[in-house]
Amino acid sequence: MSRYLNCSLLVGVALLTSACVVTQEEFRSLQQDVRGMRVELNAIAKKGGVSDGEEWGTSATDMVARLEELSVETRMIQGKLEENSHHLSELSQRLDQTELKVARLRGEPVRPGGTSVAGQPAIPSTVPPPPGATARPGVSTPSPTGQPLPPSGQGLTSPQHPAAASPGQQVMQGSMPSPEKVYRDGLSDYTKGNYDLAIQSFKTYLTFFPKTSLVPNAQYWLAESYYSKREFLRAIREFDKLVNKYPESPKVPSAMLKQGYAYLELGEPAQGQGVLRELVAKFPRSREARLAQDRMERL
Amino acid sequence: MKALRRSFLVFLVLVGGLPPVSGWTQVDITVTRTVIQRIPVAVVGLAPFHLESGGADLAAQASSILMDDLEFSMIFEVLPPSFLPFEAREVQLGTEEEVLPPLNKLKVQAMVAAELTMRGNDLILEGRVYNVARGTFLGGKRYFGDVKALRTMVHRLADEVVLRLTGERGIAATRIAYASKTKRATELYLMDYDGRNSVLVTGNRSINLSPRFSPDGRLLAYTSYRDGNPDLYLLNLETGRRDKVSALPGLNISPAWSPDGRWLALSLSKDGGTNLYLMRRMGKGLRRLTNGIGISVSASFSANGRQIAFTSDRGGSPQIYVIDIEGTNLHRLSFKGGYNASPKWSPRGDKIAFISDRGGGGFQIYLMSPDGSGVQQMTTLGSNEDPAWSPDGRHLVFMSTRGGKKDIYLMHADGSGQRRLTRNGFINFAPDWSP
Repeated sequence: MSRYLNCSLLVGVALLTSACVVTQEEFRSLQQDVRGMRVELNAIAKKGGVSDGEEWGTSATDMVARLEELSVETRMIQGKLEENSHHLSELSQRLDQTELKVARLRGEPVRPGGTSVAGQPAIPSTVPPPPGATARPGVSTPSPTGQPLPPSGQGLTSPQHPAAASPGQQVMQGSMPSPEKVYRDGLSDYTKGNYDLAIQSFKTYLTFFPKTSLVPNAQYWLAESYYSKREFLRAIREFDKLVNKYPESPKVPSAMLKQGYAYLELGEPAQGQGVLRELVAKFPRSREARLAQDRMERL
Repeated sequence: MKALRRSFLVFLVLVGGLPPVSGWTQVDITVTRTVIQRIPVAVVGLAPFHLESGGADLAAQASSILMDDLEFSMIFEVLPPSFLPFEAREVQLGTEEEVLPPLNKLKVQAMVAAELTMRGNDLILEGRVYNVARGTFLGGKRYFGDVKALRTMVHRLADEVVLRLTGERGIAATRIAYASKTKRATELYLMDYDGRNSVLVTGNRSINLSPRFSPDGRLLAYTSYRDGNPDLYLLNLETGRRDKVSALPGLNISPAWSPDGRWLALSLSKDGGTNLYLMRRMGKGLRRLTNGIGISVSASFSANGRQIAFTSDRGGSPQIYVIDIEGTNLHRLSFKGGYNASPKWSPRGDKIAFISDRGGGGFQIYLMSPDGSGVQQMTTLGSNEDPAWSPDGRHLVFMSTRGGKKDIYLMHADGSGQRRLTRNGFINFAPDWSP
């Protein structure tokens, strides 16, 4: 059963990947068109000095029309890329879920990512906790101050918020919510401005589901929650984890931009500029690079 | 027209200044309630009251408005007077505690006793609230005003009941701004949340669009073609002062307030394309959020003020995106359907309302979580657009064509209780709900 599920998901990923390849081909073709347009434009520009105004006007009109076409085409392809990226993300999440189910069916204390968990939190659904246990060594999520969380009913924990309870309690109850739920609870709390709850959710996610596809995003939102709380030092640290551990994540330019901004907020312009310059060098065509340039010009 | 506007402002000042005679006594009440379980409440008193012989029974009107407000709140279940073991309207203030035991037997949790009297030229509406199970008096309040202010006085009493029993702000005294198109112009109006007391607020015989209340309810941002170009204005609803805050070449449209009221997001076309910008509310500190030649409009802030949902065609068709207020972390939320637009973030932060053509046959209103998951369809009849949230996040106001032309409708946030508000014969659209 699990083999079947895995196979079907792998086929899905393969199909989607092929869809991405088609899109990449379209993109390459578009790039060739643009290159061709540039050559033509140069030719017209050179010709402009010797030809009459009417000929120049016709060519320019054609050029504008073709540029408009290209613009529409570019947006269509942009849209397709967004959709493919979304489908890939959905598929990855389904794969995460399947792996989690398989691990539970096997009764293995295995993380969704399939790693062994010696000395790490497990996700058992049937293993009862030791009598009277409230938290297991090594499973409590550190609080923002680096101290262990207070027991249930105090501090940030809330019985209504599954992700807010400490991981130890969740293991004890044998009802760990799905990775998607923990992640969505975190995101929901973030948008409501409940940053402490959001931080707990994302920490729980990173602790229990370290190999799932949303880990880079959870890391980003953890850092962003600190940033929104104006705890800039912690934000810098957490953004740094994203940049270093998941350099391929599309959120890296955003993380670097906010790292730079956080340094500036802390009154450390040299370090802030350093990060922003690095961002511009690494992702020169990104919107974040433009924002970084703007910010540096205003310093 | 000037006289009309002056009278509107006087009305606002009068209503805004209604003083309570006696304050509430803060008493704890424990009300057990879930999302779907309403608090059973009884409304008693409000014996017949006529200003003149043969005139309308104002107390009956007040009772009806109060019961409608409490019922619409989604918090209370108002017991019909005929279900009560006594004549509800015969209960007089001062003797209302006598009916607490029979109400307790019916498992009624709360009671509102009220009375309408007259002193000089003023009506006096007095309301008292009880915890029925404990038999305790929670507090009372008196409102003064002329006959025209009766509805407002009752709405305020309803909101006090909600506040004292739940700790949440009620929405009965809120207002809805909307655009109304006639043959000559598109003007902006304000009306009570129940569709009454509609008042003109623009009156420049031009095109006025996209009214948006500031979070404190004092200002109304809107776009007007009054001077030819679609410029952005702020109208102070207390003083009547108007300021043109953005008049850049091209479009100055689609405003949205940040939750702290310090910033406005808007769409400008000054640099080619129609892009999203942030500016301080009086037009300073303009900051660009999106780039490109596409169209980015319909901004809506998240409850924490850190993100903005908006509509953009940067992917070839109108879809919903979210961007941070720093202009980074841009990501797309909607993927199903060729046209998803008009996102409105719930004030509670947990839902985004939007319109989509994904079901075919016109636009419908949907809700989704802030990550784009959990999409629920809210409407089915006609074409439905322009959703906007009530300040408590329990209701939505929107435009629908189900009645044959565009009119303003209300519904609860679970899609139930859909009702029409405007019946003026014009084309009504683009509603926004005051705080």
